[in-house]
Amino acid sequence: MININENLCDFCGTCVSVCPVDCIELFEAKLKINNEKCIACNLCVDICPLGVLEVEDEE
Amino acid sequence: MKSNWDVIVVGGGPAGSMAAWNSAKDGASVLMLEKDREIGAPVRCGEGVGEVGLSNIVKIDKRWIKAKIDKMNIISPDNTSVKVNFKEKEHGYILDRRIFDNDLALLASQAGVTVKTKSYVHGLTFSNDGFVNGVKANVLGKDVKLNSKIVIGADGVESRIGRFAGLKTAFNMCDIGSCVQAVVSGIDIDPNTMQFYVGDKYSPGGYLWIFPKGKDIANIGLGILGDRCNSGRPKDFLDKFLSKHYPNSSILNYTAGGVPLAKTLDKIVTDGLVLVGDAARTVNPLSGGGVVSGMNNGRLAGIRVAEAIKENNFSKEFLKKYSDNWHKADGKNHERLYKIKNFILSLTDDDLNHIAKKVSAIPFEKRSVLKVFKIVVWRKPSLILDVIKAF
Ligand SMILES: Cc1cc2nc3c(=O)[nH]c(=O)nc-3n(C[C@H](O)[C@H](O)[C@H](O)COP(=O)(O)OP(=O)(O)OC[C@H]3O[C@@H](n4cnc5c(N)ncnc54)[C@H](O)[C@@H]3O)c2cc1C
Ligand code: SF4
Ligand code: SF4
Repeated sequence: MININENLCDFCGTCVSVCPVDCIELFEAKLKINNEKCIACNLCVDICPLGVLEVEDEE
Repeated sequence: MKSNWDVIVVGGGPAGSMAAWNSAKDGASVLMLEKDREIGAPVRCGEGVGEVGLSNIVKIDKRWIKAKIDKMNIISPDNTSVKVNFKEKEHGYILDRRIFDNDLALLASQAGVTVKTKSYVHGLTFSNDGFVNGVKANVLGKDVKLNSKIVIGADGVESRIGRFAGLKTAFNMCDIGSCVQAVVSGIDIDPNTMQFYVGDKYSPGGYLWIFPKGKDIANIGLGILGDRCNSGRPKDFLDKFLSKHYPNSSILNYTAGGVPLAKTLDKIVTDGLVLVGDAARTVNPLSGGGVVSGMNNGRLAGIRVAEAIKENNFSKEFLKKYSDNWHKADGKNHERLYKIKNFILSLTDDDLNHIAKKVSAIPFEKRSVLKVFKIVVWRKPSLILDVIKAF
């Protein structure tokens, strides 16, 4: 699971551009990640200029 | 709003406006959809452009220009500064892209294009034979299906339009810059000089820019190459720089963004669809400048799309002429610049310091690109091979 810190996000779409499975959606001030499709590659976490995204450990 | 159009353009940036404008010139009905509430905002751009390149595409309006640039100053990791005067044809501008992007959309609308904001495209529709024939969108809060003969994907770095049509457009991490920029005021700078800080110290695999918008205000930003993002967050690098160099300044605006540093995608057309601008990766991969090249690309796409509407032929075979024309105009050159980018990436901070010292020892009037190049190669003879491979 990827955790989104919405307060920090600038909705710039850089994470969308690297996601290999196109599971991030961005419209207006909303960023949504489709966790069913996500393959946990963490590229979005690495590329975000602001550090908005975090990997959430699954218990 | 009517639901049948000749052309639907997704994205209202410079590439989209140029594509829409040129598509409409021969009377095609063109709709341009922009997801944000305003064309031109937020500005995710250093706003630096070359004067010659821009004036070749549009008549420049004084209202677009914040500063005129005739000098550059490159600062190496050990603070050696290399100043270079631009020749007349190398002069540049720092734009106000809010006004600029707005005016380009206005020009398109004056040529007959219908522009809608708060309109997000979230899917494409296809004919039985697999041609793209419309979009699924949310226009001002309402879900709609709109039909078209051709869709132009001008949806920027975050483009999903190509993916919807089955084109592979996701970035490799080595082909995208992760950027932040602040509009900083209360500083004392020369309004006609662009400044670049280079080296891993400032921004791994990229550079930090100071683009003046007056004598006390500038866009200050930096980009880190995607595959070097483990060295730290762009935002942390920028905050560190600002607190050291401009501790008492004000920050009027802070934005994030991605810059394609890639070759143009192999496939930028398919049946009923073309991609333009950042969505097609038309940014200069060495400098990261994508405004003028995106506009030129959008223009070429629009010209071919207008022909396609006239001839009633929306096949990828017909549209491919746009891709070929782009390759001849700028695409081929970008492939060369891409190789040079990879060559420069192999230089260490020590190399950059050494090169800067050598260049600054050359009298100002005698500095030339060739001399700088000789110094670079002298520092790293092993790179001669790489350079030869690059050409
Ligand atoms: C920090 C930074 C600094 C830069 N500095 C410079 C510089 O100094 N000089 C330079 O030349 N270039 C610079 N660039 C690059 C330049 O900004 C881009 O190359 C340029 O904006 C590309 O134009 P475009 O029209 O292709 O895309 P954009 O200008 O990004 O426009 C795309 C538009 O599409 C909209 N959109 C996206 N998805 C959808 C959708 N699904 N539905 C509807 N609308 C959608 C977006 O909201 C956006 O308005 C910089 C980029 C960044 C990030
Ligand atoms: S890259 Fe970061 S700031 Fe930009 S939209 Fe994604 S999460 Fe938000
Ligand atoms: S972790 Fe990978 S697959 Fe999941 S949202 Fe991020 S980029 Fe996409």
